[in-house]
Amino acid sequence: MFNVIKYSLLENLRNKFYLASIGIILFIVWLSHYSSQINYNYGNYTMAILTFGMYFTKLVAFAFIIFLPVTNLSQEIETGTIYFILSKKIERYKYLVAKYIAFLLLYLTLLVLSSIALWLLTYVLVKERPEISFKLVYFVYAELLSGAMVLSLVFFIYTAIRAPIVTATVSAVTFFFSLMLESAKDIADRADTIFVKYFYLFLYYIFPNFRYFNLEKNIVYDKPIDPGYLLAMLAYSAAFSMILLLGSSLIFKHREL
Amino acid sequence: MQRIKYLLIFFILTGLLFCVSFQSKKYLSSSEQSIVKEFINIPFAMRMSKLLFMDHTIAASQYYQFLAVIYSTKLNFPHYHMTGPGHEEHHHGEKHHHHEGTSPEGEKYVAYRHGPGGRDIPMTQKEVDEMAEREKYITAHVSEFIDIDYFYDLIDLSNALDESNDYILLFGRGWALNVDMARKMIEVLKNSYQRDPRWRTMFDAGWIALYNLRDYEEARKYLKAASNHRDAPEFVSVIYAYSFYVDKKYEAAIYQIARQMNETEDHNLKTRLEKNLEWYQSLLFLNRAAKAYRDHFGKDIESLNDLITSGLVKDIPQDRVGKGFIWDAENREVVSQNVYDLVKK
Repeated sequence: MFNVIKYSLLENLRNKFYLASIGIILFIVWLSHYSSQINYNYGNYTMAILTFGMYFTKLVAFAFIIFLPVTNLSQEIETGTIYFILSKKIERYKYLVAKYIAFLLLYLTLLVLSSIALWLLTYVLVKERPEISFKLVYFVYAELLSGAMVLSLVFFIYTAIRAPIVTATVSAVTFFFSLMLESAKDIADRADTIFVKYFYLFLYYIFPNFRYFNLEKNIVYDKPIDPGYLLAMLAYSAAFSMILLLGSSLIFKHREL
Repeated sequence: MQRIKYLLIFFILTGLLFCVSFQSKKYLSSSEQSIVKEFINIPFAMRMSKLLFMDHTIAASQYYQFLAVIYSTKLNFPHYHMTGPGHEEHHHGEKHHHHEGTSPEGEKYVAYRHGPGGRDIPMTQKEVDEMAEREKYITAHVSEFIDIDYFYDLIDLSNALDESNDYILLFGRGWALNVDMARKMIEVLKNSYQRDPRWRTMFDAGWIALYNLRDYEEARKYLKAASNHRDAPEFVSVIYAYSFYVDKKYEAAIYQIARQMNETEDHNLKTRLEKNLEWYQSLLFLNRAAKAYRDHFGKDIESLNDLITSGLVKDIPQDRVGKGFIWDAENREVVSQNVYDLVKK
């Protein structure tokens, strides 16, 4: 299993998509620097650059976590590499978990790289309100947990339907739908019929809610973050990801490649 | 050979695309105004921003702020600094307003503007007067340059997406050049207050009503609401109390603007505040003189010339914001003739 992680990491570190993501992230950090200068001629620079930087990082990292795993998995199936790996007496679920860990680590490197670039810009070059730039650690933490959930969702959908583009699309739609879950709750509260009420309540409770992982306001406005909340985020992400990974392992075990 | 062929095809296609795009864009951008009116649907934009910005509403707020800042550049409002005593302190603590010397024509330099790469370009009085005229023209004809509704909708949206974004309110307030803009800004501040009731927004609305609109009744309503907040600083109730007296009103304005200048780091805003401070100082000076005249002669002045003939003032200061200071007999105060009102008449 360790070898699968290692070779997946090595293989994908050279992947064009991963390299492009790094390039894009460095470009967006530079872009954040200039857009912040327009928004604030002087002062509040750290806040502006972090705001733009975190959003763009999330955008690129999200595209990465949605597309790279499915293209990589489908390539391994199409080229027959997967048969070679599985012939080495590695269990299918171990292969899946190893891939999951490898992609999560790659995702983490993108987040860390972007945070370091943002930190360098704000702390080393600007030297303005340095305490805020240290809070990027929370951004990495929250985004990693959110990414873990998205990745498990991608694995689950891919093992179920084995169509790369549909998997990426459905995962993205699920993510964006989750951002509107509060509306589902509002509709449920105002629904006249029991069916409609429970349908929206079901949606509200069963769908993953990625809004919980947005710590942007606390970071930018230097507001305290409750450690209990951080733990709850970890528990929620771990539980959700494990359930979906378990599901995808079961599907992967019983289906033909 | 094959490579050269492909390169050639690539350049031909790019060239063709450029020609088509260039002509089309030229036509579309010239006819854009007649087809599309800049418009923003705030509730819809609020919902869409949450999706497009992946729930990063602060980033969305910054984006609309970015649009508003870029949009304001359409005004191409002159930006210059006067030299001499009283102007040195307000430039990020750096005293680089000293541009002594004369132009090749022998005229003394009295101001400067910023050139490329942070270089200072000295200006003569004639150039300053030209810039001042342009400023007044823009102030009077803002609608020719920008859509005021769209501009303030961008500001409103930016604040709605991030209630803690005070900068955008400060920015919008700084651009309240005329009565229409001031009214729109009050609406933005009222909306912001509904979303997040804070003394600061009501105070700002009161300030604009008091000094930009000269609508004392409305101003007192907002200032009173602001002073009712437990966390409102003392100066809010002081300004509310001073709003009942002409000379005290300007004294309060000077105190408040000096405070704002210390608070802000924004160079553009600081420059504008510096000019406003001078303007309020002139108004305070003239209103005090008018009060002294009344106390001495037992009647109001009929025109500002009475102040000179009575020896109370040597000359009338230059009005750098309006079209000159005049005596408002109805409200019994010296006011600045609003360039915008003159155009409307």
